[in-house]
Amino acid sequence: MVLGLRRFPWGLLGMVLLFLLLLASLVLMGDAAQNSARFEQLFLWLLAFHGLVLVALGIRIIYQFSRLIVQYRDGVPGSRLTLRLVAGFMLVAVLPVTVVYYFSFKFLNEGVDSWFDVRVEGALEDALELSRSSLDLRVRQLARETQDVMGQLQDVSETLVPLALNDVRAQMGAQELTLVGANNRIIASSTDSPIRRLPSPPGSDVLLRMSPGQPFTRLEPQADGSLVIRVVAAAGDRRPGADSRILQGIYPVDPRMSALAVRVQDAFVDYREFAYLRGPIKQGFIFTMSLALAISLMAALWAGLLVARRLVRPVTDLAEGTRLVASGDYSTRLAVSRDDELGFLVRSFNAMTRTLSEARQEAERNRRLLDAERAYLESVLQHLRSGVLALDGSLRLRTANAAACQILECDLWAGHNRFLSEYDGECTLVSQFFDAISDALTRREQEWSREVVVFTRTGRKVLMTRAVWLPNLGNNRGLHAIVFDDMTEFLRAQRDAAWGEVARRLAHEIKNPLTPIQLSAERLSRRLGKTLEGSDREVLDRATQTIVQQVEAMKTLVNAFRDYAQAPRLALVPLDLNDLLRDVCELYGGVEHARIVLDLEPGLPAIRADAGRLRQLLHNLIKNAMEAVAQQPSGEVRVATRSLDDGNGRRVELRVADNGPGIRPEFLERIFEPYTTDKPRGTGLGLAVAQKIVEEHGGMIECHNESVGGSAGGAVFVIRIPVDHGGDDGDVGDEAE
Amino acid sequence: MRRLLAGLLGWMLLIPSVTMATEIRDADHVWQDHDRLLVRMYLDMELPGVVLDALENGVRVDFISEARLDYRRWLIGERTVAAQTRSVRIEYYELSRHYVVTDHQRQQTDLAPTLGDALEILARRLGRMVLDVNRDSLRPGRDYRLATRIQLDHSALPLPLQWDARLRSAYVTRLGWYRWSLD
Repeated sequence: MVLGLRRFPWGLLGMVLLFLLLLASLVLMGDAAQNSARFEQLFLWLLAFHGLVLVALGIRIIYQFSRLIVQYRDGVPGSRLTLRLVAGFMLVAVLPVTVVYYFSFKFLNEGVDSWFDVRVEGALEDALELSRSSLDLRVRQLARETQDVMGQLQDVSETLVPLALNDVRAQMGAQELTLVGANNRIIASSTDSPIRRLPSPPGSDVLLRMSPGQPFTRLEPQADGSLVIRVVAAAGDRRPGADSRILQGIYPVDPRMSALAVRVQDAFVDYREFAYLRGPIKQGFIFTMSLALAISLMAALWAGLLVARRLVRPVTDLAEGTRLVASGDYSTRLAVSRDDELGFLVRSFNAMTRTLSEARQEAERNRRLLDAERAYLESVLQHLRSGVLALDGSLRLRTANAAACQILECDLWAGHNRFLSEYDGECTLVSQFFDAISDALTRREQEWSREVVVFTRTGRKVLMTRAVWLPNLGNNRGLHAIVFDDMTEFLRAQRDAAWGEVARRLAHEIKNPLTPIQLSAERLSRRLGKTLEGSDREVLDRATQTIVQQVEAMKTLVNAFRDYAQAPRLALVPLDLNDLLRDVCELYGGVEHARIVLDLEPGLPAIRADAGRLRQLLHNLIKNAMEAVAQQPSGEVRVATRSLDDGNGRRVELRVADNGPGIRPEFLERIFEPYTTDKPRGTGLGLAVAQKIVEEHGGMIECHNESVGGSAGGAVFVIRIPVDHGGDDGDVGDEAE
Repeated sequence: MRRLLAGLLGWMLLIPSVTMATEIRDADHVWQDHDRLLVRMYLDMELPGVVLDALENGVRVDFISEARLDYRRWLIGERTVAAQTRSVRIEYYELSRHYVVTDHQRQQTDLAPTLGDALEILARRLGRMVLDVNRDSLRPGRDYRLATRIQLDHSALPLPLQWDARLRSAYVTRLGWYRWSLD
């Protein structure tokens, strides 16, 4: 109900009511202009009312226009359209009204003027003059006759005058004859009717205008519309001492002539009055018309403003709504206030925004789902130990996980959307990897796998690579999904296990017959040595000595194998690596050809280690380094420690570097494998044991040559062992065991 | 056309014009008898140009003179004891070329050959009014005042001139009340 009342076009209703009121008042005003009584009652009120309406409309329109112009300048949506509509309405209203006004104005001017004709006016003047002439003729005749009678009555005694006056009056057909004497004294009077009022002597104005012998004449209208002729005559020859008498005669004009003359005069007066009033008549008409025009124009302008605003309001709302939608506010709903096409447009807009809003909510929901899925996939990818790469059809990198970055030793995330070929020189492993698989990628093989070997500074890496080509993914440009694993450690572990087995069998199979061989050789030497002499005895002694020595060598070798293969129980205790290093390095203080330089980080955290096994490890490394610099003029072995936290937990790093010739590249890859040595008398088990000890302590060991001026420098062994976090001390057996 | 538009504009803007030149020079009163009070005004009668112009063009012009006897009451205005109105018409009679001055009922007609004579007659007619006042009803000590005024009777003018008369001060021919004490 309230909404219905709000939607009711009150402004339009007010405008219609006002228009009807104005129309009625204009009709009343026109009526009042034709009716004197109404004019007296209504005119000023109507005029004031119209004036007030005009002023009110004018103020209202000026206010509306000012507001519209300000809105137009401020660029308020809809103001331009409103202004155009109002201008259009104005044009439509003003043009016909102006044309009508112009022709009405012209018609009024010319029409009213055409009512008057010079010939008619002349004819009326002529008729009036004719009437005057006729009356003047009668007046002159009566003047002569009255003057004559006055001459006759001059000498008649006052006693006889009434009789004579009656006779004369009857004879002349006068209405009244009065004879007055000196001091305006009535001597005698005769009238044609006894009920007529008393005779009055001539007035002073008449007496003043009289001259001797020249009677005073005057045509006088009567209350009943008839005419009478007043003639006042004095005696022509006044004798001294005689009473100066004046005769006043009042003569009726012939009724027919009187009526004709009066009618002519009335017609003439009316015509002249009408002619005189034509200016005010025209002005009155034009004023009324102008007032009606002004009110009509004002009302039209006001109506134009109202209608324009009413028409434009939905458009303005739509513009504002569109702006809001463009800015992303899909919740915009416009009030539907009409049932026409504009209302349909507003309803359609609301439906559109509702649909957009729902679509946006759906898209948002889907986006959140996708984000969750993506996050899940990324989480899975990031936690995969396998490297995963996604390349689009043009071999541009789309996705890489952390394992891929770690394995290929390159920050692949920074180069998102780059071609893999662009990593050449920046990430050597990526470049090598790409070179190895580019043929399969280029051919877009559906599914393939291969073992890819890449070379790093610390050795080679074996990457087991599998890939599939997904032609429908990646915006239909296809996608290569590549998964690869670093199999290096696995393969190494396999080799280590194989070598351990070999060592254990060798130790078992070879060591057992060695003691009988050695004992047999010694018994052979004791028994035969007594029987042989000379050169035979020397040959026997050398042969048995050789057998014993080789058996000892083989025992040593087998013991080394045993040490490598066996996993002793570790006695892990918190250990200060710096102290252990100082102890071990002191033993090498007497070496002449090389010196040891210690660079130990103060406050190094303790590690959990077996001191004996770790001492063996250090001996192996330092001894190797000393042997490597044996041929150097100023051999130097640098032993450094430091603590580091590289994301894989806190660890202690030990670095043993020499300034020797370095390790030959062909050995570098398999330096920690048993039987890998470039020394003539080496067993090839020292570094293998060292690696085993490091791994027993949960650490890692790597080796590379130091780069000096672009050429290979000395060898560097880097060991990283986790720091002690306060766990229980005790013996730890080898898992293999 | 231009003159008409200018006139219309001036008309609408209510430009002040010539006002009525008639004035009440003096006034007095005489008790004619016990119940009648004769009020006399001495008028200098002149007419504005627009009225003269209308008169010479055949328009009948009516004047109204008013007289009243009232006394002032404390705080609540005046109370009129007696009032009288007189209407006199002046017109030009073409047949005799005289001005005719008549009262409203055309009981008394005076002719004057000139406008001056006619205005004298007019002034005399307008300036004489008899108020019916019972002398005994007047309370001694109360300030009775007589008031008279003259005005052009707009409603007797032809309608087009009434427009003019309503809108233009040229036709403002109402004089203010001329007052004097009864004593």
